[in-house]
Amino acid sequence: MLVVRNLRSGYGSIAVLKAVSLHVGRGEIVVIIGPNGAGKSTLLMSVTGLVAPFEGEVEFEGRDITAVPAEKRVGLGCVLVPEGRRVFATLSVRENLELGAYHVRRNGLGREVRHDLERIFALFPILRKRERQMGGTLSGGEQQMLAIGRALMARPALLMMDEPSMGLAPVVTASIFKTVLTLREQGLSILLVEQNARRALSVADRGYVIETGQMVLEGTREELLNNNDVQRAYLGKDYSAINE
Amino acid sequence: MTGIVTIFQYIISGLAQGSIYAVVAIGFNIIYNSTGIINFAQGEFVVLGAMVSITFSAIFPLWAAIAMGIAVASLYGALVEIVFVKYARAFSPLRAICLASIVFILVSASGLFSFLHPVLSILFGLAVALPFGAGGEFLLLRFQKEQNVLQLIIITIGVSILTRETMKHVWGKDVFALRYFTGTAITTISVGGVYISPQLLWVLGTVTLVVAGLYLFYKYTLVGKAMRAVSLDRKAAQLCGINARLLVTLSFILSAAIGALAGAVTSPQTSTDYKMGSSFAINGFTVAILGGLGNSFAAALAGLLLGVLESFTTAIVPSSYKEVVVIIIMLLILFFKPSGLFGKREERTLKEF
Repeated sequence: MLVVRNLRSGYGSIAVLKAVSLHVGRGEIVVIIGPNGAGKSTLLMSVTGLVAPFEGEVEFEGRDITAVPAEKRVGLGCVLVPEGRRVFATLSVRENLELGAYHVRRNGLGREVRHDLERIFALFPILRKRERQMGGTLSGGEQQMLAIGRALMARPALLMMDEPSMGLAPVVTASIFKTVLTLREQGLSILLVEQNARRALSVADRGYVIETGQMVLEGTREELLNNNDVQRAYLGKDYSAINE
Repeated sequence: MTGIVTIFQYIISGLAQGSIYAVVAIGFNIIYNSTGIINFAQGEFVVLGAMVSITFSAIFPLWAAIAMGIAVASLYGALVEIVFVKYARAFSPLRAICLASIVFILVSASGLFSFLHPVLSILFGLAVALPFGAGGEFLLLRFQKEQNVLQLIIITIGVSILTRETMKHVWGKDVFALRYFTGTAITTISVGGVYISPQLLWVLGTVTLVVAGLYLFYKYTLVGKAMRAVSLDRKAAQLCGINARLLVTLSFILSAAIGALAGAVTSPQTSTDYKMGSSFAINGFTVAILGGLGNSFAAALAGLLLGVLESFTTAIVPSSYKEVVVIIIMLLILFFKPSGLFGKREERTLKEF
């Protein structure tokens, strides 16, 4: 589905990522965990095309998309729910969702948008209630649902999510992660970046650990959960607990 | 009785003047909404539209001449955006061509090769413009970083001066006017003792249509909504699959077209010369912030309000002071109600600044 090879990327002359490689298989949930500033968001932004990589390749469904502009990648099915949600604050909830379907409507599939909208409302019933409210007036959790809904309106094959639990209450986070599992059952592949490592690994099939712009570890959920370094650095266990 | 009639007469002439401020302010809003830039070349779009219409009206029917004025101004708006605003990471042939066209316009307007046969002078113009286009593109690529809004605003001031001086070379310093759409300068309709030029009805009708059209465009069309999205959060818009760069070009085209239309409909009454653009820009900007930046409906109301205020001012103080009044109003608004008279508090708090 998604293959990233030797990606070197960053801003201006500052390289944040140093030769990062990863892959996401069809129907897989893959998480990337790592500390602040490790390059997790830069990695996702490079996959979406909003940050231009210095070197390396991004391949999506067997096609090299490294040179494809960001807005076209959405049409191919490679969609990001950005960090901090970034809903359109002064547009209504409905308008936010409609804009998610921008390329769907541009491709003359306008009739199907209504059907997609119903699917989103079924997934997040609260959004139906808030349909006419401005996006910026929603609570953090509702905004996250709106951001996910907006991304789903684009009919992704791969959904990338950048820190979906950021700033949310634990119970809201739990429901967001439940949604992630539901979406996978519906056939989506998911690439998830999280600081909340425990939560993220609980839904993941596989994971990567990124530190200072490099992948330092890769493994299945069990491998990562049982890895001493991961336990100490990301799951909050101290040395003594691990050694016992 | 005559007192009331005089007051109405002032209101009417104020409305006529205010309409153009309103439309210039709407032009400001369109570009501001999609880029955050205040385009100070907006006044030149108005003058360019009027001048081209006037020139063509000598040969073509009025509507065709105005359509050409709008087309030329729109093209110029696109040109300006592509050269000065669009940010390209790789060599962009489109930008190189646009750059070359601007150089070509400058060379032709300055009459550098006018002593030659017209065909030769065009060839020489191209010979100068093409290397400039290609060279300029490489320079832009080399030195242009993704600019911030303030730099772009200052660039628009440069564009405004460049455009004004070029127009001076093309049309000279004379004052021109488009012919009246209906009747002549002395045709009037009397409404209860107040004399109205039919042209005023054309002007007010155009402003109403523009405002209503834009409202519907932004509220109900997909592209309009996408333009609002780009203005709120460009990257998030791109993540929705919206081609933000194309929409920014489109907003410059739209803004120039509306400005040109305004220039053409007001030209019969207010006349047009090459340097009018800067006062349009100042008054239009005042109106834009008076109404609340980004809100076209409010801009229309504020424009008419300022026009009427200005009209009454000239009745009381010498007319050379009317600019002072405009600037005082602008300062008062900036000090006490920076969101504008009609700015919604709710929207304000949701916007970034």
